[in-house]
Amino acid sequence: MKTLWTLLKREYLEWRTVLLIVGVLFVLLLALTGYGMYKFAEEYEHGNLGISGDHNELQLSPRDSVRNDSGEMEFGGKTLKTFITEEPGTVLDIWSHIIRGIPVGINFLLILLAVFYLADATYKERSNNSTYYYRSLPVPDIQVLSSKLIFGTVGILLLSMFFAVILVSYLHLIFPGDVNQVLEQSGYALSRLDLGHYYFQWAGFHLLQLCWLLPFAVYFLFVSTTVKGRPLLTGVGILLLAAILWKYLFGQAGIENLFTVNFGILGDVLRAQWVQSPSELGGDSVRLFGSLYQYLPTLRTVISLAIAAGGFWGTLALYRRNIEVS
Amino acid sequence: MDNLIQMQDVSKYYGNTPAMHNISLEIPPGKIVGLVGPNGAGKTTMLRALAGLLSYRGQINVLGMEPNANRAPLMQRTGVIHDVPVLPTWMKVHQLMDFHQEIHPGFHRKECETYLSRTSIQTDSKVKHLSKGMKTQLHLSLMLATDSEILILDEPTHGLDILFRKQFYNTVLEDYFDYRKSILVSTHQIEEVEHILSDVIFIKQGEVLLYDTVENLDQRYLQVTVSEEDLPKVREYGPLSETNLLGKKVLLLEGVKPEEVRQYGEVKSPSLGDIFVALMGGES
Repeated sequence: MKTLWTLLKREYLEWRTVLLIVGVLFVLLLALTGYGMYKFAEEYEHGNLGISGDHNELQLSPRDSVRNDSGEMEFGGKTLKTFITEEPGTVLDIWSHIIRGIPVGINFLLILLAVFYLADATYKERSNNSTYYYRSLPVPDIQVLSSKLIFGTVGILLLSMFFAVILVSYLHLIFPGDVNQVLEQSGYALSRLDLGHYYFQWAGFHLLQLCWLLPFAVYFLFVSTTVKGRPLLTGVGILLLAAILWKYLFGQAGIENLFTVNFGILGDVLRAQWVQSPSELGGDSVRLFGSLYQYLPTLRTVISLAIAAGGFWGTLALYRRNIEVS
Repeated sequence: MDNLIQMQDVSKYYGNTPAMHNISLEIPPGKIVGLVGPNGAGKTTMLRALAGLLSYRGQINVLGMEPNANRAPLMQRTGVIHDVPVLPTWMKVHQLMDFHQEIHPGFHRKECETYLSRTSIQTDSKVKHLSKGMKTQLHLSLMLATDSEILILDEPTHGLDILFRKQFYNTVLEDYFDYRKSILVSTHQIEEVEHILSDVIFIKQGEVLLYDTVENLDQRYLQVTVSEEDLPKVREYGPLSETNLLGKKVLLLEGVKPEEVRQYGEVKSPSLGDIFVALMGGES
């Protein structure tokens, strides 16, 4: 266990500059969000806060109504004044897009990082010969390979979880109190979000991601261990071809969906909780779409883990053969 | 005492090209064995097979273990230096020592720092910023500061200058070797290591042409320098090679007593290089 921990530490040391860059990008996105929030509050102060005229998008309940002529809005059983302007304000829209965009951007970056890392993991050591140094140490191959798989999956997902926690907490902090009050009166769920439950469920989502995307992680590790050149291009290229073939044969975007769902889901959840839905959610605290943990003991999880285990075993056998790069 | 290394009918082919063909040999403790052969002879393949880095046919036993299946426990008692720089270039020297210390139970950091203090390597330097010679020195320092019973050196001084090469082998001899350990070293520059070798293996196209102690080779081979008129008589002994030297002929003979040929010219012991060239049939 100590050896595995040391190997994981080695991966961190090797990749910490890249992780730092991702962290800096995340902080920049948070700063952008803070600025968006500031503009939002400023518009609110000046009475310019508006809501897009697309009521379907707002998911207004039938009893809510908008009277553009008087500048008032019946919303959640209350009459609010300052919300409607002559020019349907884009501020809330922008805010909504920011809330959705940050997690999409971060998740995209992290998935890109995971793919890049896994595709390079053993290839880099083969190409610069450092694999011979690591193999001259009393470390079993299975631990070397496991450390790379763990770092590229659990490590990246922990980072994603960490960013999600920071983001939600940060949004709570920067959301102006009086705006929050108005939103709460109008039925928005921000102040009633159960953060403990939220984080618990979010951890469940990451656990699901780990199980269901593990075959892809092992696939990239396999590519990294076997190709004689250009592992990233080869890995992504084969996957794209497979996705196109799948779509052509079955008419479904199976592989494509696996990734796009992951890009968007946190943003969709945040947006749904804070900007769009909420009056029908009710209760003292808002909970997210039931328990994600119910998806864990399913056939899909079993199949994913079985494929990943088989793939890992094959990768290990080929890793031992130490295929030389061209 | 038990042999540290045993190979029996070991073969390895790359396509139809033999890198090892039915090699059988035994190396007891307390030996410094030189593995000598031309490019493509199979030296690196043999050393990698002993280090558990290759699959092969036949049987190999290193320190009582089959290397391929037991690489990790074997590496706890074996040090390996390759013919190319293999240390991770992104690490700093002190990070490398930290890593080595945490991974290898037989590593003595203080010793390593002492070895490094004799060099110009700074511990906060990144490996990628070190010269090729410094990288070899660093790797050697790590290996010398690690408890091991066998040291496998695959052309460790390849591409380095002569001063460094001499210093390298002196360090290995003085700071590592004792009569419980063995060193297996492959090299092109046999002249540089022949003074430290106890045994020598000549390998060509995957086959061992000769494996003997340096002491035996001294008795087994001799070199006689003869004039043209005596040449036919000495040729009757079946020389392994003939070379020209200042208008005379130098013949390498096997299994001939010095007194038998002394009457024809000057007799001396050939260098390992001379024997190597003769056995390789002129290849060097």
